[in-house]
Amino acid sequence: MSAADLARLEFALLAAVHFLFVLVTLGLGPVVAVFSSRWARAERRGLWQAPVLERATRFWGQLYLVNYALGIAAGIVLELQFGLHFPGLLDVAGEVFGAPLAIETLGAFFLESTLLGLWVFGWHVIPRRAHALIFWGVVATGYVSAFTVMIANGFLRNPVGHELVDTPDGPVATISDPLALVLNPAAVLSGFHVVGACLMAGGFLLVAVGAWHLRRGGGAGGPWGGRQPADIDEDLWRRSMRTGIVTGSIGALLATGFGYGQFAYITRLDDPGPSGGDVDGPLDIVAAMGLGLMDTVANLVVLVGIVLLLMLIGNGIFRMRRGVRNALYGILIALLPVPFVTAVSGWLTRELSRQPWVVAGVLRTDEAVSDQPAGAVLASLLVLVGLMVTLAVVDWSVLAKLAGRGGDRLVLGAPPDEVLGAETDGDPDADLLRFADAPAGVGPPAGPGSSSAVAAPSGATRPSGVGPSPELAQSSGPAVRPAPTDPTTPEGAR
Amino acid sequence: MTAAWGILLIVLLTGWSVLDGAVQGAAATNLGARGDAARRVRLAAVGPLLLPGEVWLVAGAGVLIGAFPHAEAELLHAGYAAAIALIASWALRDAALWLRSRREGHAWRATWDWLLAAASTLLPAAWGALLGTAWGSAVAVVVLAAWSVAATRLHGAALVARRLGEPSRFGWWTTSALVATPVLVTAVVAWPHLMTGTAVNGPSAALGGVVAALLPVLGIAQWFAWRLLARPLGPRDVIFF
Repeated sequence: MSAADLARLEFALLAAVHFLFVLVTLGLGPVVAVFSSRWARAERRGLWQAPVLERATRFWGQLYLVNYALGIAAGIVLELQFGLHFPGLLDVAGEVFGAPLAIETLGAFFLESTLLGLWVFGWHVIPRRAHALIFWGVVATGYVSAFTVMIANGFLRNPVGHELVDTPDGPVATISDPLALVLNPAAVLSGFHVVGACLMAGGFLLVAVGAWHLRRGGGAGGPWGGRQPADIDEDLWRRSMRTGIVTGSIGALLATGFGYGQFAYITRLDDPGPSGGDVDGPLDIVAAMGLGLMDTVANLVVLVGIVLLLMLIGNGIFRMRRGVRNALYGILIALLPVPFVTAVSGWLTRELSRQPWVVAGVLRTDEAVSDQPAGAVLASLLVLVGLMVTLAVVDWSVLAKLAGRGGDRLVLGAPPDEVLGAETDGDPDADLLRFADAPAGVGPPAGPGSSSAVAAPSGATRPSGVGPSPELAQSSGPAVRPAPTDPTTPEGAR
Repeated sequence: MTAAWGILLIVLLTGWSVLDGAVQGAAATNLGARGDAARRVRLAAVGPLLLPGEVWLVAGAGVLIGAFPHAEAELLHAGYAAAIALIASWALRDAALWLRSRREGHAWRATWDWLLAAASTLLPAAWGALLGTAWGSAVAVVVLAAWSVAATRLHGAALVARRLGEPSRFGWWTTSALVATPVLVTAVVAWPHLMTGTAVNGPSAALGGVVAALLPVLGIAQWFAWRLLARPLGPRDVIFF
């Protein structure tokens, strides 16, 4: 393989890995935001749903975070691919292609990550409503990010809003009409199509995890499911499934509608252009298969989504006979990979059908590749792709484990003494942790069934006298900061 | 106009080395802490810096792509190996931080702790080497790589000490200056080169307008984040890593 082929393969694999994380980030984001807002509202009004909404926020928020972590890493690796392997793209179209990417990283992503940091680490400091609002900010900036990336990608597919200026180094693209660049159908239609795919993936995840727990728990309603959930856990999983069915159906509708909407400009570009291209090469067959797969999946998901939505009436889906119910849940769990496989094949279809162009009709991919020797590119491919695929697999195994563990022992949003308390059993250094020993009234509000109830299993197994205690705090040596003890001055606790 | 972009780039890169340098340093020396809980407390001291800190370099790379595409392509071409090492160690460092405490097993956490320390040492080394590449001198590559590794360790220790309320040999302002030095010196050395590394007609005015409008929003969000994090670790903090 030539250096150009290797650079393309490396980019394709890294982008596919990144895209799998993006699907969950954008698909789960709005769901966590809704749970978070409803929890804030329920707590303020003292509604009975507050504990289950808190659990939903923390459980799905934790999965969101563990997924997001690798999403960032994969995105960083991808961002530098342009400069490393496709400098020609920046030479010719740097201004047009680079501008949306600069706005994405400097504006949207910068804000998104800062807000997410505030959300996670300001959990016990920021008032609940502001805290929920911050997560809405995370979701909004995440979506702006996705659309700016689609503007850059849409330009490659359907180069509008630019003009080619002749320079001593050859023609260079400059922005002539920023609005046309932003309103490019290849950016806007495809952007909504991708958003639909993300919501669909999020929906499948919510449904699969909810179904897995319901199938395992069985519920307390005998062979027929109860009209009301038997306990907080069953409530959480029923809510997850309901939310997932609604989210997934909205996503499937968006993905399908805007998917067909894209045919308008896709077919126009089938003309291979002045330099010609391999119209019937093996890659085009892959692209055609991807298109067929998307078509089939989208139609099926829309239809099944309607049936599942109807089954939500009167909680019907949770009240069928146990055998039927478990069979349906089993199928829904097995279908989890479908939106991910479909989305990656959709991405392949889009990118492969543009070849041999990197910017359709303007710049060929082989003209944009750097002159690194093939050996160096191969080494980078092995290092980066090997690393990212390994990390991705490990991350998914952790996500599966966290999803299976359910609403117990959630770390996100837990007070520090609870997190560390479960771990200091028998630890001689336990007194190091006394800072975390919350005086009464300083920790987060603990309503019935909220964090204090969640803590019960781990707290109960802690041998008395080993965990952090006020006595230990007062007998601390000089090397360790004394614990804040005055609950009436929160400033002191900071 | 081009100079303003250059200054923005330097601010972003300096910000990253100070903010993320503390995470790197604390993580690189975390094997020295005895007991899992003690390690988690140290990571909790710098953990909140991770998300609002690492984006400074992502944004810096965005400015390079958007305003200095030629300089970026040239730098990454000359410093290919260092750039690959930088992004590989960065990805590994992030994964190690996020995943180490997600499972209870001793082997799981010990393995991640080891990987975290290795990646957090390689990351500043690759960063220093990439800066040295901008000087165009092999000596600068070695010196700046070694400097970055040593400075981040001191910086991480200073920040952990500050948040845990322990005494520290160096103040965190001193160590911040130490980690920022390579960036600032490189900025001076490579400035003329950077100014000629723009897109053909200079950076786009439309992009400049959007970025100028965004900066106050970013500044406010970051200010809130750092106000939240500058205080000593206490019972209202979150232990996630």
